[in-house]
Amino acid sequence: MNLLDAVLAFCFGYPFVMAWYWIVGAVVHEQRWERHEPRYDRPPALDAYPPVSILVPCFNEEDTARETFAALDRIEYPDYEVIAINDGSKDRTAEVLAQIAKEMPRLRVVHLATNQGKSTALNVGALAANSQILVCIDGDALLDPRALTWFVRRFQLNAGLGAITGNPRIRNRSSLLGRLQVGEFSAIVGLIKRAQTVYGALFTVSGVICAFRKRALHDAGWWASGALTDDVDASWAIQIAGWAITYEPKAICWILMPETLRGLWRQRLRWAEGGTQAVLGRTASLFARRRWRLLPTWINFFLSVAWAYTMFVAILWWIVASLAGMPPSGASPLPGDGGLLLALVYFAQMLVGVLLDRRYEKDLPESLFWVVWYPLAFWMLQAATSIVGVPKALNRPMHAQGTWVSPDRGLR
Amino acid sequence: MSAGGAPHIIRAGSIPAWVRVRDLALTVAVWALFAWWVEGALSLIWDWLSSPMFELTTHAQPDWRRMWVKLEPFIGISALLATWLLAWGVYRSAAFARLAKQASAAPLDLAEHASRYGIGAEEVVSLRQLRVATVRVDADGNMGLADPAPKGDWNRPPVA
Repeated sequence: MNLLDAVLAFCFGYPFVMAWYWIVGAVVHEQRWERHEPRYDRPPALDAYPPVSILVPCFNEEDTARETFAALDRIEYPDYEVIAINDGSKDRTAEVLAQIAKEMPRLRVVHLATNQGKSTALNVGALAANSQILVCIDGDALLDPRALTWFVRRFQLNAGLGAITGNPRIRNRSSLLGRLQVGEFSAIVGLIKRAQTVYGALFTVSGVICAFRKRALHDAGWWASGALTDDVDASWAIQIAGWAITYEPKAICWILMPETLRGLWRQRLRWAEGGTQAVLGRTASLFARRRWRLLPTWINFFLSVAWAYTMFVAILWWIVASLAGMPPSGASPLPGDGGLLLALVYFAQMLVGVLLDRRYEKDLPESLFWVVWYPLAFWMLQAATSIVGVPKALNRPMHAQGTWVSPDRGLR
Repeated sequence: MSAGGAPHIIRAGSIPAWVRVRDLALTVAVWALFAWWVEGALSLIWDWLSSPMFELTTHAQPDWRRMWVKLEPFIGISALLATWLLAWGVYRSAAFARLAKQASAAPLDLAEHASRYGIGAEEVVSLRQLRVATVRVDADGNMGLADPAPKGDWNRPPVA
């Protein structure tokens, strides 16, 4: 096998192999942890209901805060408080939160004088929190009323759990991009989280809906103020500290995603940059503390980055060869037999994802119509964010604050 | 949010009709393009499922051996990884069960938490009782209560 054959084999083989890996892992998860569980909207009674603090970092959330906190006022759990952390918002978030606090006795508001970033806001919220269990959601997300019960139940079943990731479901489906992401969150995010739970090491919790034990976060050094993706960084730190993380698909949160290409690009670029920053930043402690359980997840991250670069080189190779009038070599941007087979495998992955997630969202099969874009265009967008995000992460100043402005929250 | 807890899905009315038609038409077109790309395989399946069933009448038998040779290493790696995941999952399940039997971790002590951020325990107690507070964070990540919190009946400890 020459170099070009090896490159093409990797371009095809990595997504092909991983798709089956995620599918098998997700099916095992379903059989082991979901099949015999109660419905998500009928949680069982718990032996005890320990107090829970819900942390909601808010940065320029004047348009979404009312809806978010109205949902938090309807939570079906006997003992919880809600803490809004106004992270130096420049709009009317402070006034809106003050108004809501007057109407919502459970709500407490902590203001930061300047924008410090989500990690610092969460650290402040955790310090202000009276409970040992923290649930974190974003300022534009709607938490399902039963989510706290499911989180607490999981913590009660396993003393070694330091964090739990919930199940984010997309609300906004106005545009093609919005509809496309609905399927993505089942076929990609949901399947990967299930498979990684079976394996026992998660790449990340979903920052938009997750729960932590305070003790685990303390052992992990809390949220790093410079982290661009607080969720990835905290997940690695918690697991390196010796705590386990799991996925609770019944803890649902309805979220808004960008529906413009620019907004989506900015969001995915931050994810790619932040993911790289977090994994590289935690690599030394992973090896120093010999957390070998995390090694496959660590290797897979680098393989995914390598795949993005390899695809880029292989396509560039094909374009240059074509322009130079040489015989076709490299990877054609138009799918050949291998590309079509990958697309079919992706559709199989999507189908499994939708079938598994249908119990949490019965209209989900509708999203299957739009998924044809994913293997043709969306993969390339994802690869491009990796290609741009990795050097950005490597060049990021060591002590830069992890602040960012949220992209658009969809079309209304 | 609806009575069942699921919020209304947002399908913006503000999107112009032509954009919706465009999205629909483009997606149908891409499906058609995809079907055209895999036309050979589709017609083969059609032939195999048509009467007489499970026989190829209009197509020659594909070169399965050549395809297998090409895909074998990838299918082999997939099978190996899936088997490993299953085995590891069973092992992890047992390890998880052992963790479940452990006594719950000690709760995080307030003073221990406070010391992480260079703030006194008493100040944290005050922070935790206020309904509205302003916190300052310095460059080293140390925290402290800033302005006096607004006074008034409503700025009392939250109702449990």
